[in-house]
Amino acid sequence: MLPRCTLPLSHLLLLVSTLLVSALSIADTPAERLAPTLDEQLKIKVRSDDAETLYSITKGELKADGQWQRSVYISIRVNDVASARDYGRIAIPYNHYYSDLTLDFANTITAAGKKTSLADDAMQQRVTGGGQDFYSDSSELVFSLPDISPGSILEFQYTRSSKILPMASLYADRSTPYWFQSSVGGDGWRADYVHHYEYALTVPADTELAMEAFAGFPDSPKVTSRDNAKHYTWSMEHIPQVKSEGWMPLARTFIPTLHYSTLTDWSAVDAWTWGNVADKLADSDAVKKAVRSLELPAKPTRDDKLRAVYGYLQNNVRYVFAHLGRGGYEPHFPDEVLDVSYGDCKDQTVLAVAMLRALGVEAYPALIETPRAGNSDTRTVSLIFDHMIVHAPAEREGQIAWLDTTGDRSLFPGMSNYLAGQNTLIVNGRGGELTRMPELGANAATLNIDYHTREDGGSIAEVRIDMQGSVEQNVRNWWIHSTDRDNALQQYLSTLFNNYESLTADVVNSENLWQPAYLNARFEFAPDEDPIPTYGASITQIMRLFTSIGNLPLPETRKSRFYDIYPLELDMQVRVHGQEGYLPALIHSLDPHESPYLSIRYNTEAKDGDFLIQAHYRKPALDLSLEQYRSYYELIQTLNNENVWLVKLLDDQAQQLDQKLALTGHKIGTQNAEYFIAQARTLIEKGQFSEALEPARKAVSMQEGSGEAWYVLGMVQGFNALVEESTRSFEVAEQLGYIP
Amino acid sequence: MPHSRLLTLALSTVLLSACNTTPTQPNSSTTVRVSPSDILPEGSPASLYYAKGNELYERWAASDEDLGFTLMLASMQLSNAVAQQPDNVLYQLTDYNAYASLMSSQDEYDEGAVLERFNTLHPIVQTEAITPAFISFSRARYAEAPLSELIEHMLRATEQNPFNPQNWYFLAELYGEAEMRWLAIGAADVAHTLLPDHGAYSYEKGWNFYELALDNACRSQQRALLTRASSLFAEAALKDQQNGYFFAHSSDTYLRLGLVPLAAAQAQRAVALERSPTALSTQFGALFYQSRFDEAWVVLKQLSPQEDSSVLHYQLMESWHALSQNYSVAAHQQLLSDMAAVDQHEGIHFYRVLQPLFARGLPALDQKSVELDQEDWEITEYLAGREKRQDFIELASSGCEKERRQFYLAVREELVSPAADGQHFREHHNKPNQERLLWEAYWSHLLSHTSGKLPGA
Repeated sequence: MLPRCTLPLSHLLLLVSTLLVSALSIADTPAERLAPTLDEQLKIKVRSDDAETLYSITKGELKADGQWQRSVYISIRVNDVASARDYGRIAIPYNHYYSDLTLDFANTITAAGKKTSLADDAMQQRVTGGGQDFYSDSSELVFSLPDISPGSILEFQYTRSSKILPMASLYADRSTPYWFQSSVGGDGWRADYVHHYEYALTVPADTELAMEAFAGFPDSPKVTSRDNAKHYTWSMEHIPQVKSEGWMPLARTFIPTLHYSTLTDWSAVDAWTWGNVADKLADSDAVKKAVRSLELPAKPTRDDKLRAVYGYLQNNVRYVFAHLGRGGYEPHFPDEVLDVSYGDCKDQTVLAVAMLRALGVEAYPALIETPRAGNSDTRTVSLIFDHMIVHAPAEREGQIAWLDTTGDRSLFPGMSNYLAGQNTLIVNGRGGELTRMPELGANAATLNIDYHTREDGGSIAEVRIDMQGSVEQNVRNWWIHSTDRDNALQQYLSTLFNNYESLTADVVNSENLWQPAYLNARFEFAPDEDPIPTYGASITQIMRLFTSIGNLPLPETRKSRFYDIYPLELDMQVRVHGQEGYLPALIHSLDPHESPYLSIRYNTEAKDGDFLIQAHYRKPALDLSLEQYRSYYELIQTLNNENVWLVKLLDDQAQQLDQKLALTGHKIGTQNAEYFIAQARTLIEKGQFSEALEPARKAVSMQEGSGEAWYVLGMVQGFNALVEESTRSFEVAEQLGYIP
Repeated sequence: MPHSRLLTLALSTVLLSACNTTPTQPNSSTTVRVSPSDILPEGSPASLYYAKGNELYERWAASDEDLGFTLMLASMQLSNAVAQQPDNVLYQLTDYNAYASLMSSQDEYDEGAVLERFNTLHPIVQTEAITPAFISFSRARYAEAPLSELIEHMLRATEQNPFNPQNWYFLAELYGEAEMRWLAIGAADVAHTLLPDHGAYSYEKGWNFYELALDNACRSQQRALLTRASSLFAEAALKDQQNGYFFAHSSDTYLRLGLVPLAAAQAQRAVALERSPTALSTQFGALFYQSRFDEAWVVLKQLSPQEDSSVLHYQLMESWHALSQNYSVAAHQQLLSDMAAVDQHEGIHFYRVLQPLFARGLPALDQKSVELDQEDWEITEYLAGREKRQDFIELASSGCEKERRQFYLAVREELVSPAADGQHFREHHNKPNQERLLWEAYWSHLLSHTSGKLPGA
């Protein structure tokens, strides 16, 4: 889970607008209506059983001074009760520091033609902020229209106008035909069928626009010139509904999308950002004092310094986004951060960079677009970045380093593996460097299970789960912030076994900045009917913990490609400990799996009386067509229904005989006839006939009057083909009255 | 030995061959040969190789045709399975068994090569696998090799695979054949220790004690040996309650020990399971010694002299019994005639016993044709009144002989002599020493329950 350092943007609502906000009001003067009347819209043929957008129209204008205005009209016909529920509340977020928002009008018309307007007391502007420790200029306009029932059409039009331009040279926007509406349960969204879409943009004649179109959006607008301005118009008709599903691909790959911008060169963003941070990177007295407080060795390496700075921020600076009335792009000075002991990602980054530079480590801020914000196409410039981290270039002393101090007790260096592949701009004031975050290590977990047999015939499974990457980050974060975590942990781990007697579990190192967190658990099982248990292992045990093996959507319901961009490595190491007198034997094994979707391999080894099973699960990033997804789904079901590896402890008779002999020796001593008789018998039973001769003879020599000794000697001699000697020995045994 | 049963639960029926028995005899001719679907493509998973290999191996095992290629293909597939999953004991075992079967079907059998493969098996699996030396033993037995050579092979088998009880069992049988009773007992004892629940091992041990007991007839340890045998037979019967043979032998030893009611109960179980001559014979004996003669004669009618030569003698006893119950001249003549039909050498005891009981009409012994040994001649002479009592007793050499002569003394003096009324005989010979169950013992019991003389004797 990523530390929040962003404007609170629904990831898809970004597609509507990222930058444009306004103060709320309903227009005092009637705004120009962008779409036909509701009466006319009633005649539009129904094309969807649930809901349909009749008109989605945007009209924007960029003025010569860089200020802009944009009006948006949306009309939606709801055709069933579920849609009526979802559309019962309309919410439009905005940032009131940078823009104004005016609601031009909002009305409904029922199927019977009754028109009603929005009531004054069914509308609200409210400051939403960003959640815990998040003080931003975020607001939303929210309202509920009357007469929302199947057959009704609702319409609303609003206008955003710029107030303050965060970056004067930049005007950019993105548009899709859809109105993205949150579901009433807040657990999804809908993008209904669109009858008519239009985006009209007017820019000054000398303004060059770069534009990119995706997923069927018209790449060539209609362009006209008049009144010393250029007028662009894009339009689309009959755009099919998009169903919200899990594991959806990047939106621009399947949702018709337009990106446009007045800039294509990211160095402008570098210059602008550098302008916000450069004066904050000097080593002030407060910074120097903080650096002096670091516990560094006499000759610290670069790594020592990075760790020391990381540790300092983790232990002394709490995460708080406090940018009310400041716009949210300019960090606080390090002295301020040190003074209040809190700061957001920008604040912490500039402080960290200042401290590292004071220690002689070259370091820079880096802007990064987190997955919450998307993964943008960078051929057009826009302010896509919602997070800031530290970048230390490669030096003689070390490789490139990235540092993110904002995670709550995150494992050094604090970088979330979910950031791999995300757009990153290293800000250096010299044009910057736009790149993609490299892979940050494997997302991996290793499940170690040690099986022991209890004295009463029950079993113990000692479990340890080591984790790396996003797996470790997720568990650590969850454990730190969960209130009923002990109970939750038990429930989570109960998926490993289903027949245990008791379970104790814990997460270790959850607050340790330098050692990864891991899970420890101990399961105990009651004795079975069989006094010697059978132990099982299945790769699905760890898959149930760290994959969606149990809740993949049915292929029949799937509408879009299946997109799972995070590779995953899972390993299992199962050790069945042998017992005295018993040997573990593998009585059932499984075949490996190799497919384009995942691979599962196994190794086994008998070692030191124990048996080891190693399983390796590797899943690459997946981007699957519907047909491929079906194959993947069926493979997962096959794995779920597969049998398990079975190891059984079976009698090691040779060892048991030796143990019995040792016990005898312990009881009666090892230098007497009884012991030598027992030893000879043991060797006979082990098939070691020649070795049995010596103890058999010793027994007789020590106790000539023992019929048993003579009998055993007779046997040993017979099995060694000393027939005559054997016959004589048996005769003596008989004479002595021995009957076995 | 729970593990072997557990493994058996996981393994297929082809494991009969793993337990050192011959491959399953087919119920019908199976001529399914190899088809294209039997050959798996390269790179198939281990489970498929195993399934196919096992199927082919079972097909080969169940067929009476020479399916050498089927076996070879089975071995190849199973090898592929083991190559991928070397630690799977089920794969190991089946692969090895197929390999061993393949090697054993060659003209020249390389035990060393098979042993080398055998030694790579998981120790648990070795117990269930065909022992390399056992194959040598099977081939030698088929070639009718001498007993000593067979024993050598089985000794080696027990060294190679000491925890397979079948090896010890076969060794015990061989020692038994060679009349090396104590070694047989020792070997059977190990088999029994390894698999205590298997009735056959208790039986084998018991059988050798039984034979030892017979070898020690009339000696002091005979009873102890018989007692040991009886407990082992009873144990075998308890473990395998569907085996009539075990019950029959258990009954027989109880009879020899004089434990007639126990013998009767076991005999009843034996006959209920199978009406074999052995079972019926023991039932006859139990009824006879319970003096339930009429029922005994009914059972006797189900026995055939062709299957058991003792039947003729029992039939003569029946005739004697009938005669003593209801004398007639015609029946007397018939008995004499029946006796004449019995081979005199075989039925010498009749002559000994009955000669003094018949005043006349008994066919004279043809000394030359009967070929009596010295003891038999002395007994015959004594009963005929031509030898003195003192000499008769003093000339006895063995303990059994003494007892036998005592019996004939009693017959002559307490039954046959003019002054005898038979009372003393009936009191003292009603329950003779039955451990040997010699014919004298039978007559002793019969005579003590019938009148000792015939009219005119």
